[in-house]
Amino acid sequence: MSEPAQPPDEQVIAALAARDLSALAALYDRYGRIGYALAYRILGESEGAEDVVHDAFLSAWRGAPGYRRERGNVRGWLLSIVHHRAVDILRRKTAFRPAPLEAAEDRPDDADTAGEAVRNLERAGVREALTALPAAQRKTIELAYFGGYTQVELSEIMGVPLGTVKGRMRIGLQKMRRALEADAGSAAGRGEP
Amino acid sequence: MSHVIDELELYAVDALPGAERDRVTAHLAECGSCRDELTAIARVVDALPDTVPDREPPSRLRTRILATARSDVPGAPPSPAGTRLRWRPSWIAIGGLAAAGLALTAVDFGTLDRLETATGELNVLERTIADVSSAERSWYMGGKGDYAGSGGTLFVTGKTGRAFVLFHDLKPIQPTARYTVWLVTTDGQRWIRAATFAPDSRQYQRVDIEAQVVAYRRCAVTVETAATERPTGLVVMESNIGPPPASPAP
Repeated sequence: MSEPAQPPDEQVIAALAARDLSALAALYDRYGRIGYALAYRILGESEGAEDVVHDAFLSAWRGAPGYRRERGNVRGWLLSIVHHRAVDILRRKTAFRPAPLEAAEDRPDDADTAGEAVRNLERAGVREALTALPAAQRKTIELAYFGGYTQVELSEIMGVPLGTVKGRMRIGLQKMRRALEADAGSAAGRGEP
Repeated sequence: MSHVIDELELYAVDALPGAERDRVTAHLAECGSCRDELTAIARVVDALPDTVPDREPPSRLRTRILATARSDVPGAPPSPAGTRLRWRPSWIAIGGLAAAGLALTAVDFGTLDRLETATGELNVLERTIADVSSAERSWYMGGKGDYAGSGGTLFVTGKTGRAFVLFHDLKPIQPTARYTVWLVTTDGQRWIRAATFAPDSRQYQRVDIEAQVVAYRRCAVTVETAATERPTGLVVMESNIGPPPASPAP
């Protein structure tokens, strides 16, 4: 038996703005898992990650009427709230800022459904785009995004001028952008959604 | 008008200090070309969470979020306010006990919360039992000195290579300190931080390891008061972890 079609994210957000609790449940079922994984990656512990995801979804619940599609998709909007809150907490307790990704080696996830397999392929593409970067660019992106380091801190811990930090970040993200666009182009060429 | 193109990548990853961030935000409010550029950068940054290893949130989190949101709705009944969106079959499966409790409204929300928490813990226990049953290799680390009586077994499951440590009787530590699990390379030169956690005061505590254990030769647990690239605290338990068994000769 096939699953019924899911309402698009924008429809869920509209229902959220109308104070429909089932829309919040739907949003959580879509993005709770990746939001939690992101918060856990940044904070390195489950209790804090749980609090961050709780606060982020409540923020979305309360802020849904202010969501503007032209500023980004729902997933990006929600994960940026998670990211911002997690980094904010991390910076307030700097003693336990997580190490670079050395320990968090990427590992393919179990694919137990077709949908999961497609998502894993997409995620594998992003992972490949990141790991294909020269180490200095990759580390700059990881330390900033997952480690919560500011540009000045990055300059200090990597022992390079601020301009180099900016340059590595810019070139690294540009390369990822091209890689992801190429992936999307070849997927479209194969007739994939 | 001076554009902020050079700042946009660091702005997108939230790495600008407050004053500079405010300056960029103010500029973006007035500059369409910088906004367009930021949108393109944000598409890449939004994909970065896809590089994070998958992790299942505790089942109580969903209940907790919905409970807090429900308290936001003036005059909302204790059961879900509406069913305007279609419920997926998998939600029903996940909801299970919770959905039945909400529909009946005979179970108050606190009770439901506790039931879901218990269900979540049972799920973790079941998963751990299944993983332990399918584990191909394991190494026990006994607590040393003041930590005698505690310990942990590092398991590596055969099917996925997934690794975790099942600790028992962990000693309480200072609230600001954390247990840290390290994996050590063969030459002893590199210590890789594999997990950082606080004891949860239960008899058994599972800690997942985000690294391929088979690449290392020793596992150690320290108590740290700050996150460092190398251990600085006391080693409270450790074990050699051997290489995979050699395949029999053909």
